[in-house]
Amino acid sequence: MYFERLKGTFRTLRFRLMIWNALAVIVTGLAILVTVRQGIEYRLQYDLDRVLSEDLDEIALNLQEERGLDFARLQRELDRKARGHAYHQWFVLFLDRAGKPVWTSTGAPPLPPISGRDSQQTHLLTTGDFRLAYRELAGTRERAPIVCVGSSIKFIQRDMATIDRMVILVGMVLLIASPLCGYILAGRATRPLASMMATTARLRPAEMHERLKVRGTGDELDQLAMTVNSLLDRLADYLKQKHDFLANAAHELRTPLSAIRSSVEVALNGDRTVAEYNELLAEVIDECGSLETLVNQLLLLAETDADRQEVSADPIPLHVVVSRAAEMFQGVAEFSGIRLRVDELPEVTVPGNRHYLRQVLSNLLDNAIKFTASRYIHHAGPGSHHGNGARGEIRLSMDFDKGANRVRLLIEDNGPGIPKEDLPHIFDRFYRVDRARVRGTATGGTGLGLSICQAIIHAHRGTIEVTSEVDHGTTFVITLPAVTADVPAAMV
Amino acid sequence: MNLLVVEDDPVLGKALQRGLNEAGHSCEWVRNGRHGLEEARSQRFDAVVLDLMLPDLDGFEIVKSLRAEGQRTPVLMLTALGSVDDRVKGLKAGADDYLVKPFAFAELTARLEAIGRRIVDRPSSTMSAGPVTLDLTNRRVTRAGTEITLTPTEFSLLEYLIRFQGQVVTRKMLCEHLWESDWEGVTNVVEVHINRLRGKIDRGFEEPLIQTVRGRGYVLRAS
Repeated sequence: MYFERLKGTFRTLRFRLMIWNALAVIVTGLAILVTVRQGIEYRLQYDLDRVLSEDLDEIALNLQEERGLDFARLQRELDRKARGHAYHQWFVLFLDRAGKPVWTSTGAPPLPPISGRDSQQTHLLTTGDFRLAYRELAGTRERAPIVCVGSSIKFIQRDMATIDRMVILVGMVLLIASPLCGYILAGRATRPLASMMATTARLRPAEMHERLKVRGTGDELDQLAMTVNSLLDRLADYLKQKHDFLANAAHELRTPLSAIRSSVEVALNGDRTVAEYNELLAEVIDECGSLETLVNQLLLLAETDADRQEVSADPIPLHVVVSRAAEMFQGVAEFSGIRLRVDELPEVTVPGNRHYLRQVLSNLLDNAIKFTASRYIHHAGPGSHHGNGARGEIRLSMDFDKGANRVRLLIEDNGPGIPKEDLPHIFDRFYRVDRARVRGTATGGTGLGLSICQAIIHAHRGTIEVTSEVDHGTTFVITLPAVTADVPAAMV
Repeated sequence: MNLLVVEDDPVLGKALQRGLNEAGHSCEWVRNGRHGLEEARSQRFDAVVLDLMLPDLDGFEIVKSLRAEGQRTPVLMLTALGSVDDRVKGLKAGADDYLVKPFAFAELTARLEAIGRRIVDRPSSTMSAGPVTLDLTNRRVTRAGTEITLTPTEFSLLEYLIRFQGQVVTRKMLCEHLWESDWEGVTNVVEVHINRLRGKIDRGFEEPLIQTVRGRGYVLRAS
């Protein structure tokens, strides 16, 4: 149990951020410390070498320039200097060619013989705890031609030991402090995540009002919160739509159901004549018809719901579907005094479902005929303000855009038009432009026809749009992708 | 026809039995799948009306077993599942026809007669109903010897009504027959053609042949 919790902690983002942060800080810190330490050591060594070389040069100058130099005085001076620099254990040696000391200043340590070289270059050498600079001075005392200046390097070692102690101390502070700070900082950085998780965990399909807090810093976490919030908005909309749809569907089913119930109850309340029974039963059958239509349309809507995109795609000759639909409605259009005109249709094959596409055309033509007819029938007769010869007309036309490979289908009528305020809603489910027109009358429908059209056209990856002007007419424009040689129907 | 109905819903089953009896068929009704399969195996029936969803053995299984045994008795499936896939599945299993609930009773009897006939039917070049005669080869129509000119739609409509004369034909059936469309909308696309046909074949004659049956459809009666 405890182990499990520990394992859980290791997996947290906070823990991982801490580890990465600590590693980065420690590695960088140690690299800097080591570099600085090495730099100091090199610098101290270099300075010592410079000092020794300069001292050597000074002695050489003394020896070369003052020919009549009192050697004993020089030795005394050097000896005094050596005593003055006792802390650095500074000393001078005069050596013979074999490297053996001939004269040594005070404090000079015993050294192994230094092999002389036949050159007048300054040589630098470390033996034991001492740093030496030596050089053969030409033309000077034959017995001891090599002058060697030396100094202890112990003071460098002491300084380095101090620096090393400091490096170790700082390193240890880094080792402890950086994970600790990392843990605290990572905690601060991930705190909004914890609050997001808590909020998200509280969300339920029935309570989608809560949103993640956006702190206004504009950082990635804010962006994440905004992305999640917009997803939540869409989900909430979708759920509300589904809920409204279900509620509306139930309401719509209720109406014919209650009509059936009342008819039957009234029939059962007393003895009726056969004619009365017949009348009542015929009403029941009519209401059953309404129920059936509604249920079928609901199922159709469920099948073609654009979100599901499950329309099977066969190559469908759209011009044939259109002309067949026109043929089907020709009779009823003529009967309603409407001219149904079909322009010459280009031959276009679209990927899709014949049954569904026919449904779209039927719904649109049905609407066009019933609304257009309602305008001209009501206003026909003497004194009609449409003037003589005003007549309902519906025009079907199609054009094919080869470049975009899309076909455009237009259904235009000169009916009463759709009021501006209704236009944005006409594809909504159960929306009826004229709520007063009740079921079963000439223009009453289920309020689902256009949303079915939209669902079907969207499932075919097409678009459906409407333009309308009151007292002038309505035009529906459908565009659909066509089948091409390189995109066969089955692939679309 | 001698019919077997396999349907678990008591109200629907009873209605089917009564309706089919009144339509002049003898009808046996069983309420579960196993019993239905046994009865169907007996080969006493001209056709089987089979519900798809049954409590013990579903309709698909029954049809498959029957067909696997080499039984050719026509089967009409009834179901509430109406998607294209469901229809295809039913027909593939070996059913002869498929009817989606809710259905018009007239359509059921028409379809039953169609699948019953499918086996013995021989194509005929003329059809007649009372005084009306249809010549299918020349597409000519006469009533009591007088030739009547009909549009192709009207001819097709009349042919269908005569084929099912004496029975109610629903608007949906006519719509499917004429335009292969089961569309159901507000404007009655069929009624217009029926009225025109009436105007042509019934005008000037005492006895109207085509009658409207409210809420159900149309019927062609020749006394």
